[in-house]
Amino acid sequence: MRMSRQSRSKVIEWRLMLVAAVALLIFISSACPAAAIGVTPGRTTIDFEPGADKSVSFTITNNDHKQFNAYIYVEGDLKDYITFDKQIIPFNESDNSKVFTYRVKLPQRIDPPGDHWGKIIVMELPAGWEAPEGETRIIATVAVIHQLRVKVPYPGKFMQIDLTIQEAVPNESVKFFVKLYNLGKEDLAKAQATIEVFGPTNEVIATVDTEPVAVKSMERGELIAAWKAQVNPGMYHAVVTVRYDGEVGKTDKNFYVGNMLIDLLDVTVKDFKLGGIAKFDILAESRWNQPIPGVYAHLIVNDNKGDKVADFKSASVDMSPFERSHLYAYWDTEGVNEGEYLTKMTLNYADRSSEKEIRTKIGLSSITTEISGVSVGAVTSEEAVLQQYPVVLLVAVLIAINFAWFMYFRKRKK
Amino acid sequence: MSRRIDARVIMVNLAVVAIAASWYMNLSSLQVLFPLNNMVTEDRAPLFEWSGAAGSYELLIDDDQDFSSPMAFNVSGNRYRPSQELDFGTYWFKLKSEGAETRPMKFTVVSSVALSRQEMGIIRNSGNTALLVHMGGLTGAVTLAVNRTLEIGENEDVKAEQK
Repeated sequence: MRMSRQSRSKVIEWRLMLVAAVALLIFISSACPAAAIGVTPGRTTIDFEPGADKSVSFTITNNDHKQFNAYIYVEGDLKDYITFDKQIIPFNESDNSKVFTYRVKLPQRIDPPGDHWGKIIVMELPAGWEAPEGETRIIATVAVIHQLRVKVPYPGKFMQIDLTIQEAVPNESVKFFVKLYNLGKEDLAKAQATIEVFGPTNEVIATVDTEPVAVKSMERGELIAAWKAQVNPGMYHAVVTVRYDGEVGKTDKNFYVGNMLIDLLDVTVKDFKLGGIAKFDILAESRWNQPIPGVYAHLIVNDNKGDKVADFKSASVDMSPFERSHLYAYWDTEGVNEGEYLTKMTLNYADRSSEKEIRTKIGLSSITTEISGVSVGAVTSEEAVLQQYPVVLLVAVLIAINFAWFMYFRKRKK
Repeated sequence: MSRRIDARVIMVNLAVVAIAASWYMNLSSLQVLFPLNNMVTEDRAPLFEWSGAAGSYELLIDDDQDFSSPMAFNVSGNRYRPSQELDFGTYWFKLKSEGAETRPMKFTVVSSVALSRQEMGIIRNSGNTALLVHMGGLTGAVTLAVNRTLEIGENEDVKAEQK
């Protein structure tokens, strides 16, 4: 039976549609997030003990709630000491996470001293894919690693230094916490740290010393120092030098004084006519000692019922340290009525944002603005945890007073 | 005479009870809401919340249970989120205000190593720590900060670990 020209073209049309649909499906499936796998914690650290036998657990997370198989294997110089029961952990869409436990059985001795690693690799494979080894793989795999770190002590004295800095605002104290881990087999009689603070032009602007401390083998000590930050807001650099029993160790870190802040100074609109384009001139000032790139303002205008009337952004600018800059944002007011509006303005910069509310009064030929504060939310309650000693103290006072009265009356009666 | 003394005794007792009651009320109002005791979190700058009527509080956070070297934050209001991220580890915290003090509570900040393959050839660090990313065709590794993306080959195998 021969097909007519019309029915042949219809078949071709259908085939083309089918091909297009398949192509679309392939495109959609490739554009959607294909994989998201995680482990927590990412690292477990243990101190070496000869012949230690421990169970260690971590959680495998299924962040995208999809069906897959987690294929698990081990690498690293500790791989011969790590064992587990299951190499494939199946996940369904409903599984948020699963706990995985492995056993580490350490030998009597590990050389050389220092950190040794076992890496438990969790590879995401499509459901049903269960034997990747020895087969030709035609898929791209994503894997995350849980690290097992075993710290083997050093002969003699060996110090690991870790610096934590509690930042502060100008004229308050920045605190330096220098944690000392004695990874050597010998005790440390005396360790003391000197902290040098460097300014933005790399000059030393302050030096502070800590009190000395003794640290036993495989134990931890802490040195603390404070520095009153009588400086401008911005980024600074601390270099810590630790002297311990004739040895020297160093570490360093950047820290901030004050918050990276761009202050909103003024918002003005000139030459305005209702129904036309309003040019918002936003004056902002950087209170930071480093350049801040990509600063822009996002304005959302709401009417007195809270309904959104407009949503617009300014172009972005790069601000130099302590610079005042103008940001310009444009709003088409066609269809907008006279009246009072509330504008939420967010200044966005360097992964941060600051928010202000602006009362905006729109007239036929003017827009006036008034910058107000920021609101704060409320919270809910749970179980109380208190120390009762002040109440106990008052009850004790009460008993004492009454006892005193009692003794007083008794004496008077006699 | 004895009646007057009896009245004085009652007045003093009532006064002390009233002071104790008001002190207790003040203490009762200071309640930690978050983090919960023994909580494990992947949030490196967790939100601290509490209830209480006082205007200002001192929040102490330490990695020693005895609070020998705490980070101290003066807070006005009933919530606080540290402006800098905490290192991974176990911490204790407590609140102080007007003679009241909560008992120490413990929380642990753990690392999360998570990787998303967003679309063909793009991966994103969706955990809370910088990652070392190993790619199939390369020796060495690339550092990928939190929330950052990296373009790799479409058929590239990729492994990520805590830096």
